[in-house]
Amino acid sequence: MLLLVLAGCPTVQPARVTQFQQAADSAHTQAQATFNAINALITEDEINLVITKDKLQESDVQVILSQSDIAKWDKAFSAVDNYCKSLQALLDANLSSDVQTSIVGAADQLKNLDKNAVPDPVISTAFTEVAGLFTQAKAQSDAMKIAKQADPNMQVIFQAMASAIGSDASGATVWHTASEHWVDRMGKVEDAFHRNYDEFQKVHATTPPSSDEQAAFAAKQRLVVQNYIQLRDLRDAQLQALSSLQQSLLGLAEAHSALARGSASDLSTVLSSLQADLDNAKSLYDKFKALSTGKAATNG
Amino acid sequence: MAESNSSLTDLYNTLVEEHDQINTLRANEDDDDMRDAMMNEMMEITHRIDLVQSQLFTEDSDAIDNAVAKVDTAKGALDAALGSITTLKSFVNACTAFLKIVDSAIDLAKKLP
Repeated sequence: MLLLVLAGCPTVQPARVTQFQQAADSAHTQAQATFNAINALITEDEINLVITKDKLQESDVQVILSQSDIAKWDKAFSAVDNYCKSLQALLDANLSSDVQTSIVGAADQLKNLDKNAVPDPVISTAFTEVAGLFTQAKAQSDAMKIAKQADPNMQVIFQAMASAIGSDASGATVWHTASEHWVDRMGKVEDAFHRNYDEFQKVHATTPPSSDEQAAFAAKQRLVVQNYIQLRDLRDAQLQALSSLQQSLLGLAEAHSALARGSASDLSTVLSSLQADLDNAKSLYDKFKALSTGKAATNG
Repeated sequence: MAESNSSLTDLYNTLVEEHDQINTLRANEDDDDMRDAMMNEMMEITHRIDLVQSQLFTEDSDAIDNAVAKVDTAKGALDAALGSITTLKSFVNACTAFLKIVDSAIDLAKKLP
């Protein structure tokens, strides 16, 4: 009867808790990479601005995503990780089998003491099975109850993280701030292209350029355009990685909600989608790093 | 963003709007010196956007930090539940040992004439 009851109830699946924990760990790693990349982007632009001035102050090169704030994100991910470990410990299948193992061990000891006993452990066998099921049911019941109680705060954490990151040019988010920096960087290249053209036109206002001069000018402008395209690709990679990270954080919120409901099919679907988002975010950051390295090599 | 200061958000949006407007003008400007001046202004505005973003990020991080304490409470509840299961295990061991003795006694009773 107990088996039938357990089969019908929603349960917190240990394997899904492991998947959720791993997904949270991946998102943490991606968040750390994100913050480092954004701070580096902003610092480089701060330097480009301050070198045009007559004096230097600390506010000119302020760290925008501060280490003390980043530490709060680290602490949050750490708390989620510890919560998952405790949930796993409670749901550990070995716990109920440990009970059964110690029961069998006790039975063996007694068997050795009483040489006249005929092995017919009807009552203790039945008790062993029920005890195992009972501890499993209790662990499930406690886990489900606590996961449901924790869920509202899990939602707050992951929704707040997702909101801070953002995914498009709407709202005051890290995504939007990064986007404005790329507008400046690409704008400077547009200006360089325009200035080159104007200067070439001025020089050759009365005398047409030779074919060599024309070719040299075209080569110069080609380099500017190639630089522009590199910046565009860097921008797209970084902004897509940010969007993907935001989706991953929203996915974590949804995954915990499904875990707390004990819905195996919902959680499985969400976790698969979440893993795909995290893999996508990682590949975009790898692409961003590769492009950045290539650009640095070209610029010498 | 989680419960961000609406004044800061308004300031951020104003700065972005200004930045984007100047950018549009710059892109259509033919005079190179004017373009450079506009770009310099854009960079100054972007720096202010960064400073406001920093404040907003601090607010978002505080909201996250406030929720963490309650997750730690959930972990504590899980550890307590695990402790009660362990106690249950000891109880079950003791019961089983007793029942094994009962089984042995029943076996012996079966053999009694």
